[in-house]
This record gives sequence, structure tokens and C-alpha cells, in this order.
Amino acid sequence: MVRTDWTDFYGDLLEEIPPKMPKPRGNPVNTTCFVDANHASNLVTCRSQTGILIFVMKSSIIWHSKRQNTVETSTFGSEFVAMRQATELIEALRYKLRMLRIPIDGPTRVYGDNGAVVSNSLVPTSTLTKKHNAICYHRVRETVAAGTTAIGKVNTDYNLADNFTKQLSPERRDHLLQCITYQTKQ
Amino acid sequence: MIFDIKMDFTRKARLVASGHTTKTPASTTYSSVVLRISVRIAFMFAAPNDLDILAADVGNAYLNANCREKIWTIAGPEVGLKAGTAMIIEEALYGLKTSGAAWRALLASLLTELGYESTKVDPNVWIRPAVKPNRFEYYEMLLVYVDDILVVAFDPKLTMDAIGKLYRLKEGSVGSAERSLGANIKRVQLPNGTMAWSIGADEYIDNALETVKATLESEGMKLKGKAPKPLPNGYRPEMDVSPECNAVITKRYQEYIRILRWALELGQVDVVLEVSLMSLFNALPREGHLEALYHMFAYLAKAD
Repeated sequence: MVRTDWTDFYGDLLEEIPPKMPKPRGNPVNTTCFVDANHASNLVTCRSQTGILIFVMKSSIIWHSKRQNTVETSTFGSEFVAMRQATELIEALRYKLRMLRIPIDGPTRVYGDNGAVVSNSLVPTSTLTKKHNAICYHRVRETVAAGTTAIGKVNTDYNLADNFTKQLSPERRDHLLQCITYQTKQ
Repeated sequence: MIFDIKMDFTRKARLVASGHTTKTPASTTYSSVVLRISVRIAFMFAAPNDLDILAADVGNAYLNANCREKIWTIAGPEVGLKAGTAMIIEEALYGLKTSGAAWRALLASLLTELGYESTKVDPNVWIRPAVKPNRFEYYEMLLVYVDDILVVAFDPKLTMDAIGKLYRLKEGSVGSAERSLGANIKRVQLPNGTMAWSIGADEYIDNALETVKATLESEGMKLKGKAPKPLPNGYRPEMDVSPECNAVITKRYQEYIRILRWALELGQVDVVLEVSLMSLFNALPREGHLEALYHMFAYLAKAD
């Protein structure tokens, strides 16, 4: 993934390292995250569902499926909220790994299937007006700028978190589960 | 007090104090347990660093610690001639308010002596620097869940023996972890040849299914034979308008949700969304929601 220059927007931002962080030992681990959202999936409240799946190496460590707290008018909004939630989970996980003195290899690779969200978090010059979306927007972009995360787009077909946001057909479910358990169980 | 009769009719008994009869102590009674995510990280961590995992149970753990409260009791006929005299309780008996904290503090002092250090992020994960024979530097991890101990190290037996010297480890409990908190743990080989650990809720689900089936049977029903998906096709729980459940059924619904949530924690990742959807109705489920849960159990029975 290409590293973009963010200094004009967020200054010399670097990932916050816990103070007094102990020196890590052992082989470094990489982290990967899949994010998805199902816009207005709840027919009564019109709220969206977030689905997040986080891997450390090849084992799934965090799986998360929750209804969002705000009503979003656009798919873009709900996907960005999901992306922000993922970002926060990732930061918590990275802090945890650091405090357990496990070395982390590079930024967490984050995959979402919404093109607009991905390009918005990757292109420094893109802007946004709605307040709570803007908050999610800056929250996500800051971690990208700091090198905590690196975001990329995957086709919906390959988004492993798809199953955490909508009820899918048995075939598609089985396929995704196989992908997850291939990574974890084999 | 007998509190469990095992399959072979041996009785498991334990002296339990009535903690509710004592006043709440001024000192802390808090005793935390290890986070599930820490357990998952520990199992993950073992594979890339080629470490071994050993688990053990400390037998009658609490009794190793001293009682922090000043309590006395009147001796019963079981002490023979001295029956009727007042006795001061010295050991941290099961059931007392401070016992959990007392045991934890005792174990903590031993672990500190062994060179372990509690981590800031999860006080029940202990680590200490170690070096493998081939000079590879790493940290040993030790996880504590009350009396369950899990050691992740190149040679975890050393640590376990050190603990075993002081406290009686339950016979047969020392070994490679097979079950922890109700989860099945398996050793698997990855395609690239590395050995890794996998965690799953198979047995927990099996046990849960037995209970669910028994409940259904007592009402003359049974689980559906066919359930390709966790929820019925096209089912939208929020659109369900069937009558609301009564108090007893609501309780049962909540119990099932509790079971399912724990299964999720243990690694049943295929129903994450569905359980999340159904949990929304935990406070006031409708009959249709319960039906949907039965459908989910039928799916889990098939998926096994």
C-alpha cells in the first residue's frame, strides 16, 4: 500500500505509544481487519448494523456485530461509522498487544468494501460536512496519518465481515465461514 | 455440604461458609479474572514463537490463603470432644466475601517471587522475560482465571512445577490445555507446517443443545431437523408481531441468549450477527423470537 503524505492535514502525527511501554520480545505479529456495515438493516428504527472481524496473524481475535447508535441517511455514513468503530477496536487491540510486550509488525491492514469511505480515508484533500460523520472521518483519517492503520478496499465478495452485518444465503455463509476458519482452524 | 454428585456416584463435597452472615469488610473484596481476549492472544502468541502451553487447576485454591476477616464459629460434633467451643477461622473458606481477593493476593506474591510481572492492560496476565536454549529472547506468559492457570512458555513445566511445589495441583488437571472455560482447545497444523492452537465452542454447544432439547421435549416439541441458516428464511425479528412472552418464557429466552453469547465468546463466529439481532429483544421477547432461537439451536445442532 502506498504511504500518503498527511503532514499538511494532521501535522507530524505519529501513533501514540503507551508511556513506559516495555520492550517487546519475540516474533512480531501482523494484524488485519475486515469492516462492513449494512445500511438501515433494522426495518423499524432504520439503524445500521456494524460487522468487524480482526485477525492477529491468522487467528481471529475480535469478532463484533452490533447495531449502530445513530441513524444514518446514507450507506456512506453507516460505513464510516463502522470504520470508526473498527479503528477504535484496533487501537485498543494494539495497545493491548504492546502492553503484553508482543511486537507489532506495521500498521493494521483494514479492508472495507465501500469505495467512497476507503478513498475518503486515503485521499488527504477530500472533505466532509455532516458533523458526526465528520468526526468519524477525522478519527479514521488520523489513525491512517499516524500509521496505526492502513486502509484498503476489498470487493464485497471477499469481505469476511459481510456475514456479521446481514443474513446471507447458506452457500455464501459457508463460503465466508470457510475463509475465516481456514485462517483460524484449518 | 454436597454440591455435586458425579457420574460414578462419588460425591464432591466442600465446606462452604455462609458469607452473607458477615458484615461487608472495609478492605477490598475485588478479585478480577483474565479477559477472554487475553486468552485468545496467548494462544495466538504461542504459534509464531513456537511455545508450548500447559494448563492446570489448583485444588481447593482458596484454602491456601489466610482468611482476611475476623470470624469465629462454634465447632460442631465433627471435631469430637471439643464440640461446642468457639473456633477462629484461619483459612479463606469458600463462600466468604474476602476469600477471592485473598487467594489472588497470595498467588500474586508467589508469581512475583518467580519473577513474573502483572501486565497493566490485564492484571491477570503475568509475564516474565525468558530466553530459549537457542538464545531467542521472548516473554513467558501466565494467565490466571481464579484457580485455573495457563502457562505459555518454551518449557512451561518448570513454572508449573514451581507452583505445584506450594499448592496441590488437581490430579490429572496438569496437561496440555484441552478445555478452558468451557471451550475446546485443539492443536492443529497450519498449511505452512507451524503448529497452532484452535479454540471452539463445540462441547459447550453440545451441552447447551441437550438442555434445550430436554426443555422442548418436556413440552412435547422438538428441534427442527432442517435449518440451513441460523434464522428462518426472510425472518426479520424487528417485524415480528406475535404475542409477547410471559415472565417464565422471558426468563428462558434470556437464559438462551446468555448461552449463545458465551458460545460467541468461545468462538462460535457463525452466529454473531444473528445473536446480536436477537439480543435486542432480550427485555421483552415475543413468541416468534423464541421460535427463532429454537431455529438457531437447530442450525447449531446441524452445524456440529
